[in-house]
Amino acid sequence: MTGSVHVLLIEDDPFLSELASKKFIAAGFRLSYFNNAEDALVGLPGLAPDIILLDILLPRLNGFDFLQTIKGDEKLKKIPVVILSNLGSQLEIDRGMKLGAETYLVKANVTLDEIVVKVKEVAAKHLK
Amino acid sequence: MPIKEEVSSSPSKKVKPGAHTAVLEYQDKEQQRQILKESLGGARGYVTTNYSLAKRGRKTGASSSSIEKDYKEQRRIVQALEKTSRHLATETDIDTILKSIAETTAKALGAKYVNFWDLTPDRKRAFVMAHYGMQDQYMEHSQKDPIPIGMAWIGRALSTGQAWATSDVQTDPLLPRSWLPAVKKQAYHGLLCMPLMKRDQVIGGMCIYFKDRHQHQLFEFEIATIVANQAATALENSRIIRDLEAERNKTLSIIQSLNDGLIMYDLEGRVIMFNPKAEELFWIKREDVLGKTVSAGVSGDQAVPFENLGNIYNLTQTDYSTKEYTTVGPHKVVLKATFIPVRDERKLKIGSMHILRDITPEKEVELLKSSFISTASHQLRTPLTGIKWSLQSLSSGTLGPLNDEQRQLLEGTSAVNEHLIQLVNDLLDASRIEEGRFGYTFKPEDITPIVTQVLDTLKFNAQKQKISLEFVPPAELPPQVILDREHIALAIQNVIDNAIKYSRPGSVVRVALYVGKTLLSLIVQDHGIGIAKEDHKFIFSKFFRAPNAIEHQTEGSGLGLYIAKNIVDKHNGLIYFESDPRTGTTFTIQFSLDPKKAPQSSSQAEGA
Repeated sequence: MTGSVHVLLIEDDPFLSELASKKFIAAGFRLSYFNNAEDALVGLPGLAPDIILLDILLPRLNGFDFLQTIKGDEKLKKIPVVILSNLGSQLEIDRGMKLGAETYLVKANVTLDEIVVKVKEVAAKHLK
Repeated sequence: MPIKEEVSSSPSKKVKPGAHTAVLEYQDKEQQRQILKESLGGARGYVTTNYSLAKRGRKTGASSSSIEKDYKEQRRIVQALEKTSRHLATETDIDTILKSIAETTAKALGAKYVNFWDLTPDRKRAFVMAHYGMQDQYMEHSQKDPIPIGMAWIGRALSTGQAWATSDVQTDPLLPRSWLPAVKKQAYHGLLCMPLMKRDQVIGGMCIYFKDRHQHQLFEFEIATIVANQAATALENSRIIRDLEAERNKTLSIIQSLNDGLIMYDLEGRVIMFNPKAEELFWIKREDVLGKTVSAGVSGDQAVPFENLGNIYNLTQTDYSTKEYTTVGPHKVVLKATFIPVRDERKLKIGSMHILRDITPEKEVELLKSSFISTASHQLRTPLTGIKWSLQSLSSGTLGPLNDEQRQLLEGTSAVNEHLIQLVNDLLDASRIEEGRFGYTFKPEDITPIVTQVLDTLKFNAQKQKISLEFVPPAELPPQVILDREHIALAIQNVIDNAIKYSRPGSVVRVALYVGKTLLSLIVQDHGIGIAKEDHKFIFSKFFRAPNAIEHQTEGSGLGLYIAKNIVDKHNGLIYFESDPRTGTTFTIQFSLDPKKAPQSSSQAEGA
């Protein structure tokens, strides 16, 4: 079933996005990727991913604003969002959760395996 | 005529402190007996010449007219004394008092002039400070050219502390010949000079000048003595007031130029002092606040200053304690407010004050430092994540199989990288604490699951170090406590993590929860390396690591207990420890079960 799960990764750091992409592909996901949130917002309706992995500190439009925009869109708001950021204070976590994120992961504190597990978990809940 | 010239020898022994009444010692042998007969007691004085001037009716016995005259005279004198007392009670200006006393005395005794003498600061000379009847130029002259102590009658009165008198200055051999023209010009003959005494000390003098040759009478001496005592009291009081005023002015000028703001309140909370620095800090003039209660607040363009003043007044502070306050409004300053009770000399509280130190520059530096740490740490996190994920990809074997040596190397690198990540996490937490954006949300929580969850995450660490991690659950279910779950978990984790880190392999770390009547205690006991006594006071300091800890474990940020203490403090809890390098360390974290002592979820202000 995971083979059919379509992950959209929004991450501006090329090294981290490469590592994550390889991991997800190796784990059998379909993967789309943007290095900024503005382009992601344009491409999103056509892609219709099952889950979004979202960084916060991004050039121009930041992850919180992106999240707020899609949660205000009737069609897009159903897509679950997992925040994957190195911002990790309680205030930022609270803000992300309040804006409608499913979960909030601090990059430096999780392994790629743990991210995959979390994404599977969230996707499974929403694909039911 | 023999004259006793012992003027400079310690004269005042014969004088009782505070009051001297006159006994006259006549230097003129012929007169002596007569005068001593009249003296009925009291202090002594010298009359250098006393002529027995035939006074009408005076010595002819007790005719009814002389009795009546005596009676009238006595009444006049009593009235005069009464008047001088009144001057003392109603006037505060010493010049006015002395002038009035001089005038009353002159009139009562039928004298031509009366004047008062002051001493120069070196106490070697004397000059006229107030007078009645003289021309002002004589006073000015005497101020320019004071009389040496010991010279003439006033000089002798001042040096001996006794009265000196003469019936006729102009013929008395004591008068320096060169003075005669001046004396003649002033046209007086009889003279009586008295010292003004206070506590055995000569503090000034008084002279009474008679137009004609004058036979000194005992009652005149007595009156002059009383007047001199009153004048001495007045002079003394005015000097005390002057000293107090000088002291007060000194204090005031210190307050005015103080680089700290100062607000003093009376018992009703009205502002009674507001120094220039306070004006500067609050952007309000002192006349706009003096006499007002600041706790009520006002509207209009003084609303902001009054809001700040009210907030500071309402800071709940114990005596001499200090709190930080950041002003609201456009001119933001950070103040360190120290609360001080103001007491009178009987230790009764008469008001209070706030000393306000502007710590804005320090705060700015602190924030700058903190935000530097925060930014730098964030910048570090991304490459650390890259390393972490790469190492993990390599060791998962998906990129090809690894031999044992390669695997070991990767594990070592991963461990070092994890330490770095932890260090960065600690730095970020510490900087958030300092910037006041640690974001607390307090809710009633069960403590047990928080502890067990922390123990779960640390289990692996403990196993690796061959430490057995034991949990002693409470005998009864602990009541819920008001906590911030995430943060208190971090505090507990830091304490237990330390216990594991600094234990000896094979030993036990015991974590226990106790429910008391008023307290809930979490106890973490290890049998580790302990904390040396000299390090106890630094153990919660930022970046502190005890030498034996560094030796035992090179990694460590020195931030774990600093963060833990900060978090526990925010919960109004207690964290303390007992330690002995031989037996190990026991840390205790305590929460009050009293709802009144629960932390307040106020900190929206802390956020953003």
